[in-house]
Amino acid sequence: MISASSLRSLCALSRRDKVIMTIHRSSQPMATHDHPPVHLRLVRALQVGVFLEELTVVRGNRQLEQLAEGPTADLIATMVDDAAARRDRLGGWIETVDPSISADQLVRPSMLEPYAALEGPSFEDPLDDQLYAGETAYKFYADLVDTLPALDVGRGDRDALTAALLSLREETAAGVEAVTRRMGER
Amino acid sequence: MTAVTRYLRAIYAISRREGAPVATGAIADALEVTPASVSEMLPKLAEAGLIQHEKYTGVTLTDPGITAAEDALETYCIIERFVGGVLSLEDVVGEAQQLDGVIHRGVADRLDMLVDRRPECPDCFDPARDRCQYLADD
Repeated sequence: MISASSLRSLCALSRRDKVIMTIHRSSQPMATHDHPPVHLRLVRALQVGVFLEELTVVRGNRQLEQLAEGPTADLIATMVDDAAARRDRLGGWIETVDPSISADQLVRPSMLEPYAALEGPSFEDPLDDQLYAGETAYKFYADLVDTLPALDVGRGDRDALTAALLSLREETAAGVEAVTRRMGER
Repeated sequence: MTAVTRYLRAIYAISRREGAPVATGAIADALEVTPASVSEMLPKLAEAGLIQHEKYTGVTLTDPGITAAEDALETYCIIERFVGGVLSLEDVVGEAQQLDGVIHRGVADRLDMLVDRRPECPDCFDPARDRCQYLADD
């Protein structure tokens, strides 16, 4: 879930985020109930990003309930915090692209509840699960950067958004690296 | 969605339904484009090794073409089921089309764990409605 307080606290976003917000607010028309929202493809893409990060958060929190204190639990707690921060940044961007949208309504807790306790070989090891989640997020950001030219995003906006997405991609790469390192230490 | 993907999906679906080779007119009808547009695209698909095109008989997908078409259709089906079943968006086809080409296979595989896809996928794709034929029933 995207907390309302985190999205209200837009001052917590990075300077680059604020630049993106300013660009969109100055160049995009407001959506109305009579017309489809502007940049719908971009909004939906960012919504998928929010979902993936929130999935990492809810599954990580569920794993933490079952893990004893120690390096693995500490790492997963960090992964959860990092995913929550990325989720909130993406939510802030969505509301900037289309101010008529409330990001915390796009991905509601009830949507994630069925997936908090997925079972099966891929999910038995918390680190395996976090690794898969991190690799998926990395792939998502990389794909989205490649796709941006096909989306209805102006050149200036696209450059800023590309830089921001690349930053998220590198953050997820660092998380994946931390997980693999911890796997090697066990 | 790229034009190549649209063509591959249509050719695949028609081939499964009516057999190969597929007439260019059938492709034009399925995609609601002019035969001239189809004639322009087919050499590009042939050059990429995705189809074999005989001028008076029609189009047949190659093995790489079949693989690419199945991959595109499965990814699209995952997206449709994700936007409808997980994100609870009402216009499943319209919303899936927005994400088609944005969500690639690697990410779709993750989302696939969250949706219920039919075992016969992608053969249940209905090109006329641009959706899995079972989607409304599931």
